[in-house]
Amino acid sequence: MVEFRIDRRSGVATYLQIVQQTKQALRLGLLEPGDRLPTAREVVEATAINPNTVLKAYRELEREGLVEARRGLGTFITRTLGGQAADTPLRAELADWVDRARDAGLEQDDITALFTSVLEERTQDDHKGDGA
Amino acid sequence: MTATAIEATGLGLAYGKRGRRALHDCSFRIPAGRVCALAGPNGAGKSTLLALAAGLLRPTEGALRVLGGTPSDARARSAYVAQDKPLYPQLTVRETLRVGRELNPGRWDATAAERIVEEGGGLDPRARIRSLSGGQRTRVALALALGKRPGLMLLDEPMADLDPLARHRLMAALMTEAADHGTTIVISSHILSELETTCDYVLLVDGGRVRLAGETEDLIAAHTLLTGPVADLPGHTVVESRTTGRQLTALVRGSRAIGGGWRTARPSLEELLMAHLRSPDAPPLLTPGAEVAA
Amino acid sequence: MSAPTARGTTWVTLRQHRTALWAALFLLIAASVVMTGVRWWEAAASDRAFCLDVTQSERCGTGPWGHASAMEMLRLTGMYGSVALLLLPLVAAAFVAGPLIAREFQSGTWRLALTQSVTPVRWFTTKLAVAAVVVLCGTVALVLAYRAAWDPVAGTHDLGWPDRGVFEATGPVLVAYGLLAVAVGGLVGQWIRRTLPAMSAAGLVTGTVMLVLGSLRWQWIPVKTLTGPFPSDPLRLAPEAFLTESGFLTADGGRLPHDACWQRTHDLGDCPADLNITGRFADYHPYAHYWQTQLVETGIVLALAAVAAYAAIRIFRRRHA
Repeated sequence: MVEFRIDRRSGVATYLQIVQQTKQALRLGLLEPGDRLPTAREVVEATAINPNTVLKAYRELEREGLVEARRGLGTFITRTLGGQAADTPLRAELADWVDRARDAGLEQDDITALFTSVLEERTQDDHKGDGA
Repeated sequence: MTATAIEATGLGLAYGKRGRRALHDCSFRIPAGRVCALAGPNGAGKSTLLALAAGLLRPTEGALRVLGGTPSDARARSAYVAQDKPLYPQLTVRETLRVGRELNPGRWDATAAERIVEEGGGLDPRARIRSLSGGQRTRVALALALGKRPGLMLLDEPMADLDPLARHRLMAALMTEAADHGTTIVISSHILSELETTCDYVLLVDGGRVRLAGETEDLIAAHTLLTGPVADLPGHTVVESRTTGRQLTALVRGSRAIGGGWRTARPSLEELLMAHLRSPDAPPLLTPGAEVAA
Repeated sequence: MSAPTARGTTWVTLRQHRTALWAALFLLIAASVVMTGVRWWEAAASDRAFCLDVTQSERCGTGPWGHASAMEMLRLTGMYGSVALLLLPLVAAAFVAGPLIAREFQSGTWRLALTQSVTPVRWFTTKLAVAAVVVLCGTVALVLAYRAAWDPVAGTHDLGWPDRGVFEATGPVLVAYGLLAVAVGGLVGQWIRRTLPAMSAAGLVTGTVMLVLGSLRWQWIPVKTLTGPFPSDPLRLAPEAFLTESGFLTADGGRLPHDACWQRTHDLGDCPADLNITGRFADYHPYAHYWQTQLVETGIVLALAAVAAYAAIRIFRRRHA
């Protein structure tokens, strides 16, 4: 079973931290289909975060089709996320892009800043879409 | 609409003959099952609001409904912990828990109360209250509140006397209570950072008035932190703006994208509350769920 | 006080004031033992068989253990005891107003008590009821013990039935004052909300009521009047009668003070003819009026206590319920 670590200073919404850590555990193979996620009570007891936040994170994971809530039993993993990102053409495209950025004279820090800012912008746009 | 834990309509309280107002014209709603941060600076009216909800004070204007009735009707189903944690100094810890049992016949959960007292150790049940440290008194006071198995907990600065470990442990106990029983918890604090991960609802009071009320997520989503060149921000309600050299940082209402080299970011709860406290003229904002049904 | 059967607010109240209750119980027993003990001594010393016993002979007559010493001790007990019992309602009022009620407000513990499941009015009335029961039992016991000590010396100087202190200490009126004290304490304690000022105020109010009623009490039952001719010997009243006024009667039916002749002639028996004195009069309360006055005063005090208790509970309900 996974144990969530909540970073109160990260600036990332708490429920997103749970979503991200679950996905990370799936990618690394720490969680496999059939595994049970800790109950909201278990998470809350260990982390002192709001139980509704845990439930919100699990709903988000369920919406993405990664987990399934079974009444009275708990929340269970239904699929893996293994290897998705590694082999896709996306990775090749990104590698091309990094090469182009290097050629244009960008340092590693510049590239990271640029990537992060675009990613943030896109993520925010997504969330506006969700909220509506 | 979900059940309502607390609903205030034009609520106000004036003290003394000169009528100094501790609260004025407060209207808001806290749905049941929420963990609500009651934020605001010292003297904002947080304690007054909690004492009104606990039925210890009577409003001088407006009305307050708690768990669907008057604060008095809700007395058995709500628990209140005052800021100074009043307890009988001559009693022992065990006798204090017995007070809880005797004064709450038919509701008292001795196991829940004893768990809080025993957790973390170092608290002799035979110790007299007057010999306890501030943090230990807080634990006993919270044990009395939890032993009552309340539907609503009203906690006035409950964590002020606690070290970080005890704070985490008690917060976990409160959150577990909320997870197990759907308890509504209202916690007042002027330490905003400690509330960020625990509270899904916020009520910001300042100068006796409600400034912000609603779901934490919704309130944050309703604001955007902008950074960019100094310029006017037409069409936006600016909560706060600061200029540093050629750069302007502003917290604005709304989440519309804005062009022209602006960087946008999601404010943290602390940033949101601080910006409102620094700008007393910013208009109040209540999310639809926090508005009192007409 | 360990009260295994006490429940709810009663248990809380008893536990909160355990020390005071033990102290009160100790004082009650001590006072009762002293008063009944001295009475037992007096009874033993006046017992002939006891005195004739050679080994006990020192305890009789005028020796340090003799009957005269016992009577002197009884008189002292009667004097100090009456003052102490007179102060008892003041102490009760101060305790109820201060430690029982006002301290809850001063220390903030009322916010703990009034946010539990029991209703505020229940909490308040239970506190007053516990105090009332303690005061009731205590005063009844003390009145009975005092009467035991007072009986042999009744009617001696300053220990007559109408004397202030003795009158209160020997009858149900003390019990009534005790209950009034509890009600006054409940009223004052929630009003002043600070321990020491509330204690002083409640004691003062109770003392004032006792003082006022004490100065009015001999007017409730009409006096009896004894008249006789003049000149003749002074009128003779029964030894236990309480003389309130005496003097001369004139031919036209008027009354003159007892020193009317003395003022003129400096001789009590020599009255000038122009005063037209035809007889003497004496207004007095017979002993029968003792119980009548006790009952009337008890009734008045209980009525006041009821009004004060009603007001206290009503005000508390309006403020906190």
